[in-house]
Amino acid sequence: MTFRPERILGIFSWLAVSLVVVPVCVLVVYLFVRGWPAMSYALFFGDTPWRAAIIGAQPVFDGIYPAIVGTSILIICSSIIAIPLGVFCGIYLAEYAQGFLKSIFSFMVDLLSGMPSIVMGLFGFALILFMRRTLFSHANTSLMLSAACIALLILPYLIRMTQVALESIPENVRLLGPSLGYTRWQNIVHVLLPSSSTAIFSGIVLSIGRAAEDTAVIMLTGVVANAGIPRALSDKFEALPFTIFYLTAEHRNDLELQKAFGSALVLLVLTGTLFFISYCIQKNLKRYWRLGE
Amino acid sequence: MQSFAITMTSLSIGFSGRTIIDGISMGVPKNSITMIIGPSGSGKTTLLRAVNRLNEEFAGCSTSGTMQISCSGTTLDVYNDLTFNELRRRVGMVFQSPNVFPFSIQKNLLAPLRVIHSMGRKERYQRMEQVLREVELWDEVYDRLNDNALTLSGGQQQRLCLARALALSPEILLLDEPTASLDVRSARKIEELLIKLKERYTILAVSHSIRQVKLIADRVVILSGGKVVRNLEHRDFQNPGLLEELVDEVF
Repeated sequence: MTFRPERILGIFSWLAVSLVVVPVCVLVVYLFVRGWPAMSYALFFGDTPWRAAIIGAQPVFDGIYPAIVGTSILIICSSIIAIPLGVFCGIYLAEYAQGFLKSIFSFMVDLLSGMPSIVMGLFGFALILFMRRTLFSHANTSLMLSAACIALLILPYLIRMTQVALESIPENVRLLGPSLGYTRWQNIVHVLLPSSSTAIFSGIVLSIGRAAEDTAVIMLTGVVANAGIPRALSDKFEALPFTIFYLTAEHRNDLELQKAFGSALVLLVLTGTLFFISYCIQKNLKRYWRLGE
Repeated sequence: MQSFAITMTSLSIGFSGRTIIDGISMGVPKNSITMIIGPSGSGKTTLLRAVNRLNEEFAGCSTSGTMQISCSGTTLDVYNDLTFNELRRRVGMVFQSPNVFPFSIQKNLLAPLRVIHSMGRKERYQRMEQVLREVELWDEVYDRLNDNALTLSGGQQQRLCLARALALSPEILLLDEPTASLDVRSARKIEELLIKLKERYTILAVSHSIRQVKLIADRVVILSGGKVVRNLEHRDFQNPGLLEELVDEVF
């Protein structure tokens, strides 16, 4: 009767997968069903001609286009700050840090990953208040502050994924570079990072998703309704998650709620597009690492 | 007087306070195959990795004693005269299981040449073809150099690893049970190659196979408990049954 535990384990595994996959499918289908009818020119641009909206000649008052732009810039800025920082911190923790220092840094990363996003927002807000009272009296909440706080929020994902990916490289691969005469840095760049690229990119994708969806941080650090398209990083901005939040919280009729679902669908497509771009970059990099000289 | 490519004096190596190699003094003659045998845990791999200081990649490694290598007529102290990277460029290594980069066949050879020797493109391609011919792999892979190296058979992968080590022009080759994970035919091919290669390189190898030792070794070092218990010349272990007897005694 040795097959029994194996069979039970198999059933539980299938059950667990189903419990994850079914709600995700239901969620996506529901979002499409509720959001698709809202898909119209007006959802994106309101009454503004699209050419004038895109070049910023006319403001968009009743469409989500400024929120799409705001969210996109937010993701790009926070990724530019967090990805190199997170990957290099991960490299440091996996390859250089030792003993007590490693424990301290690891603890700090854990602490950061356990930090609720509203606390991160509060930190950004408090920072602006402090700056206003001291050296920068004109400092205000802005897209840049939101991007910095979001970067802080997603940093632990990037650090941990990079660290774990590097540390899980088998010893024989790890020794290969040094045995050929590679310096430690050459080994990291030419052997270890290419060998762990899939896991590192998973961390990047995960963090992009997190940056796109977070509302608590941006609510305290720069997002406002009807701010329009930001013209500088010091401007306030609109963002899709916040638009979805206030449309849902303050809807007076079913049409406005439908608009919220439409915005949610757009956010899903936006993050999906960013995931696809990351996947393409990863695939090309892998091809380069496999074939390049 | 015999000329040694590697000379160890009172070499001791420990990890986190545990002694693995205990005061070994020995020499490895130039242009010959010296094979290290011994029971599991006797320190064979540690001794091999001491020559290119690969043990020091692990935390808690402590080394004492001296080690000298003789390269291009100059004797150099491994611990004082050379950096890690200079040493490892002179001392090539092939691991127990085929250890290829998960990249294309040609990248496995071209990348180290670019990273280590900063060689030009044409020169790199010439060197690649030269070493692939040297390990008799060129005819098997010349039309699929862009394929992933992992698609090669175990024996081919091991020959690719050997080619990669040779491409960097070392003077000493360290082989850690290079045929352990191969079938008999692939193992024979590697053994034939090693016999040819000893004319140009000094080879220090770990082996578990008495057959292999008798076939290709010029000298055998028997290790037990981190110490050299016997040092045999070729004529000694060719006596029928002697090596087997010694191995039975030590193991």
